[in-house]
Amino acid sequence: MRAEVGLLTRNVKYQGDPETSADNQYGAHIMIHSPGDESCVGRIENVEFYNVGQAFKLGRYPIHFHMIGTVHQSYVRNNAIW
Amino acid sequence: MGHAIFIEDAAETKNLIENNLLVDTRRSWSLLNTDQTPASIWITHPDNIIRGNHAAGSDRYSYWYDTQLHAMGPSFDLNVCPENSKIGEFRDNVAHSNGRYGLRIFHNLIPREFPCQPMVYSGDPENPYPDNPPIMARFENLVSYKNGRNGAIAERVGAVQFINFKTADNILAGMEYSLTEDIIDGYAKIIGGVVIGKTSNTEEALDNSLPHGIITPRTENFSIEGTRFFNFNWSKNIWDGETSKQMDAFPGALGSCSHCFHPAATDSGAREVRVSGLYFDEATVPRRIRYGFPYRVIFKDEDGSLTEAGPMTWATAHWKHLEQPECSFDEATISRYGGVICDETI
Repeated sequence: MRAEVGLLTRNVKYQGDPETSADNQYGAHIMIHSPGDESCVGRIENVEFYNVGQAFKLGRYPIHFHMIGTVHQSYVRNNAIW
Repeated sequence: MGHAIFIEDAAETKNLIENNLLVDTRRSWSLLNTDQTPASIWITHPDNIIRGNHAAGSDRYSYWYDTQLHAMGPSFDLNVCPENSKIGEFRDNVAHSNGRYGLRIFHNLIPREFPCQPMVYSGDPENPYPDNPPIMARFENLVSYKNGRNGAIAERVGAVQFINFKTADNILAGMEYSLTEDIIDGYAKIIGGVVIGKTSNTEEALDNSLPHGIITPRTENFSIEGTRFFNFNWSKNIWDGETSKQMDAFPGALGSCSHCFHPAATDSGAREVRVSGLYFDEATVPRRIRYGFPYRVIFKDEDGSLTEAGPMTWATAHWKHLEQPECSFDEATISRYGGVICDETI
């Protein structure tokens, strides 16, 4: 009853440095930013994220839409972050 | 580390967060303050859609409505009032194995048409808030189990309803409301749902606990309708300070006066909670109520489904002054109801 099962791998892989990211807790990240409503489209789908995000740093999230406004055309869908 | 999916400044609305799996959310001491008590989904503005997600094994919570007074940070705006805004949607989510709560609404959620304006009661129950009507927040179909405290808790809420929740194996309670605020009767409710004290798939921590199914608030204007209770039949040997003896204590389907044990809770009971359409499994729910300090709530049973004494009867804690002809207070009654049952003439 406690178990959750999820598929973590994807064919497309986005990752930090395999040698240093995990040790330093300092990985890759994606930040999408442009000023104003509907000023950009960000679509991220079916991607595996590994060794991502940076510990102790605000704003360095694995996936981050930053202060844009409305982004009706954008989505983050069916990815795995681990 | 920290919240897994989150909406940071409480300015964002209409995001769709659907069908995600979130596992093992861990605390961080070095990000936002609230990342010390992380949620798998941290919701600072209620007008977002949270649907079909599974969130398990967070250090603290699966879903935290940490509603803010205003949009904050770089998005600061006095004209955005999240804690009084309507919810987008909360439906069909699963929460389990969290350190504290599956769903937590904290501090406030009092949704209304004009979120930055006060709600003023007109005095007329038919049209209670003509200038700023409340907007019902329906939290639906949550499945929440094996949490270190509750399946779901609401701290201070107005028109907020937990509808058809299924909870099991929670250490403190299936569901709990602490305060209903700024609202007359008929808005804040638990409707339907199934509350299971203990399943056959549990761990030692639960055997050593005395949970409640539902803990009711320390305020008026709350009701429970049509909830079903199962499997509250175990006991724990505790030290009773009053009699200075070891005694068996039992979990209870209903509890009372949320957080009244807390020194900061200045309000200490004598409140009325309305119930109707409840179902207690005869074989596995021997104790329907275990009252909490200060033992003063009154359950008003509209159809007798709690008291089995007919419509408009009452259940309340056992005090000597309640040993009256209208009330039953024999041993069997006190064992089953945790107190006295009084008839409809009261």
